[in-house]
Amino acid sequence: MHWLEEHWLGVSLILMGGGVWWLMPRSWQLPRIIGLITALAGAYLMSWGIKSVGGDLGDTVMFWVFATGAIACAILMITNRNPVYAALWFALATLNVCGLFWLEAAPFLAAATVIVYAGAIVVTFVFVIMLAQQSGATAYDQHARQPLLATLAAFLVLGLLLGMLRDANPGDVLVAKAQSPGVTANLLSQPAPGKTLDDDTMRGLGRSLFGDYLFAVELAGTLLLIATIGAIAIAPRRSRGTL
Amino acid sequence: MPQVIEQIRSTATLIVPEIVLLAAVCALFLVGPFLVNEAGEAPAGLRKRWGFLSLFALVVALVAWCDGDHSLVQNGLFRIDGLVWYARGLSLIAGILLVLVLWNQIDDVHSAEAYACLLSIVMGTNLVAAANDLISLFLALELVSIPTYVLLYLGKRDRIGGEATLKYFLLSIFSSALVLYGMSWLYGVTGTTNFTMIRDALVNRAPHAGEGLLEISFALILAGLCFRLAAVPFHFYAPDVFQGTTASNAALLSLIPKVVGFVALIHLIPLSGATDGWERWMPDHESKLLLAALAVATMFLGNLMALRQSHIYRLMAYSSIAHAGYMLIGLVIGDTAPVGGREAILFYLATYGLMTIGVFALLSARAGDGQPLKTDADLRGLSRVQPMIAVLLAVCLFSLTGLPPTAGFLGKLNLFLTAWSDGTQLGHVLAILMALNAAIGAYYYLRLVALMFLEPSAAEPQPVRLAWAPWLAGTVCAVASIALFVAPQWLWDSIP
Repeated sequence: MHWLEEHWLGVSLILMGGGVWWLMPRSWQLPRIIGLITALAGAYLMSWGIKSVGGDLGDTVMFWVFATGAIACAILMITNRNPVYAALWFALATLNVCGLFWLEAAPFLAAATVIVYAGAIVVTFVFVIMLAQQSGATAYDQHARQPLLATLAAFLVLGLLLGMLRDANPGDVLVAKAQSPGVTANLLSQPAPGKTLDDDTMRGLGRSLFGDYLFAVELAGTLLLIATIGAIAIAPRRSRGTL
Repeated sequence: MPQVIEQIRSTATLIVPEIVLLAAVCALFLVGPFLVNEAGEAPAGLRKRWGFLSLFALVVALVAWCDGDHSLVQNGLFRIDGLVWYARGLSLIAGILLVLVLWNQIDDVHSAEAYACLLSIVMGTNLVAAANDLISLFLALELVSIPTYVLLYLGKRDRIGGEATLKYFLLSIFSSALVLYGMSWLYGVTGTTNFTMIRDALVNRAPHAGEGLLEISFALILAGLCFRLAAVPFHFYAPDVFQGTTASNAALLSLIPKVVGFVALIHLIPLSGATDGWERWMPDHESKLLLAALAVATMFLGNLMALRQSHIYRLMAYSSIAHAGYMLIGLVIGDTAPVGGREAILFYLATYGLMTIGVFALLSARAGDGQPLKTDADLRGLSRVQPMIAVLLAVCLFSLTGLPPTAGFLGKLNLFLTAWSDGTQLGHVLAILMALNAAIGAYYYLRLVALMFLEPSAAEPQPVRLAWAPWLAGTVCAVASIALFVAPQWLWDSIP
């Protein structure tokens, strides 16, 4: 047990990586449940090592449900043979992450993520897959190209990031001074008179978005205009055959 | 309320040239499709009208750039200083040259969209320089890359062109994701997206606080932006994409992403290095070694691979990789040397833009009527068939080699002096390796010159009418390369 306390990060990464590698689509398929259980065991070992901060019982239960769901759905998404299923697993993984956002008291982020990812993007994925693959799944969906190298690279990066996070203290998070010379917050993003930003989150967010960040919103709009018209320009014309 | 409107108005005054370009982009995008009929036919010469409109917009933006006040102004999202002034001038002038190169490379049907994409790329480049916030910086970076995808595909719609576009698209999106992830770590450490406030937080922190997290953010941002610079090992797309696309797109890809990448790095590296901006910035030891390794690998791989190429576009792709390596040396040294690394990079970007746009413009100048020049065989004996093109192309190639009397010589000399005057062992080694690489590079550039002037022509010399627009751009580039050698001082003085 003492040894495990020293090396939890490496062991959990190996377990998770082995599980994901086991699940990768190949011509010879291994029993999937073993891979999934190995990967989840690695994830639990990791969370035991990180020692998440406890709250009340309800929060803790919710956290474990959402966290397990997110990791399991993500693993199933990247290892599924069928692109449509993968898209649906992606939607589920996103929903679970939204649950985590909700627990962290970020309701707007959770709602926006549900609408954008689980709603719009997954629907688009599924439509594109169904339009593009009317003749059935293609060969490159059936096999992972480089299962070992891909798993190794991904878990090396994960290990590096987690190792850095493990060594960091909470005190490392620097807090910017609210007021710097030359940076003035827009009046619109200030809370309404008599209220603080805390009980006015959504209103503050909206005001900040269309006050401080008005030009960023406009830039994003320009980007969407270019992407939309660019996509139409790229698409072949009806008179020239396809579509 | 009037105060709020006043604030919005004052922010808008910071980005007048970009607003001019945006108006032209909207006009092109929204009017363009109505001039093409249902069957996909456009009136002949439509592309020229759109081309003149784009030139007009760029000239108006240049006028706004000249009139604008570029003394240090900062606000939430944008910050105007000398760097912005310089980058704006560079990208607007490059934009005019690129419009001229694009003139005959696009069909009438898609010309409106192509010119609009080109203008929005110029706009995005300006905004990358002006950004003072992680959000506006990322949006500006995307404002460069998303139109690039469209432009790449519109330029050449065959199978090879499609493959080149798709390669660029997928890898570029991956690199954008890396940059965004790195930015999110930076935001996580400092709790703000504003550059000024990030700098404050880093200057006022406890010693060594958050160092590991900042290193990760630095590595991710560097990896993502190195894709734009085409630095090794993020260079794999460059040869295939250059070979598969048109001359105008290749010219665009060899210059604009480098300007964007280096300007963004100049913004972001000092933040992770946690000192007060570029004035006192020197990379710490680890990032110095990382950047030096990138620079050396990029120079050598680019030059050695270019030796083997017989397709000129492919050769220019490896040459653009090698030039990214030279410029990375400036980042390694930072601003501590007597000749500042940032100044050397910005000077080199201007000279490199002239040479590379010049080469592609001249290669495509004949493409309007005759065959486009693409391979070694096409260049053989060019001096007998097209003496003017051969001479101007030779000037641009001399400039790429770094021979006097061209601006390329001064660009390389500045970088060499920067590295040498740093006084450290690393600086000396880098300077020597750079000189060695310039010598390797000389072989393949001069081989092209020899092909044009010493080999007999394969085909019968026949008069070919030149397309005036790329011809003009190429001539301007070649003449300016020599003029900058004679009078470099005004460019050097204009660098902040």
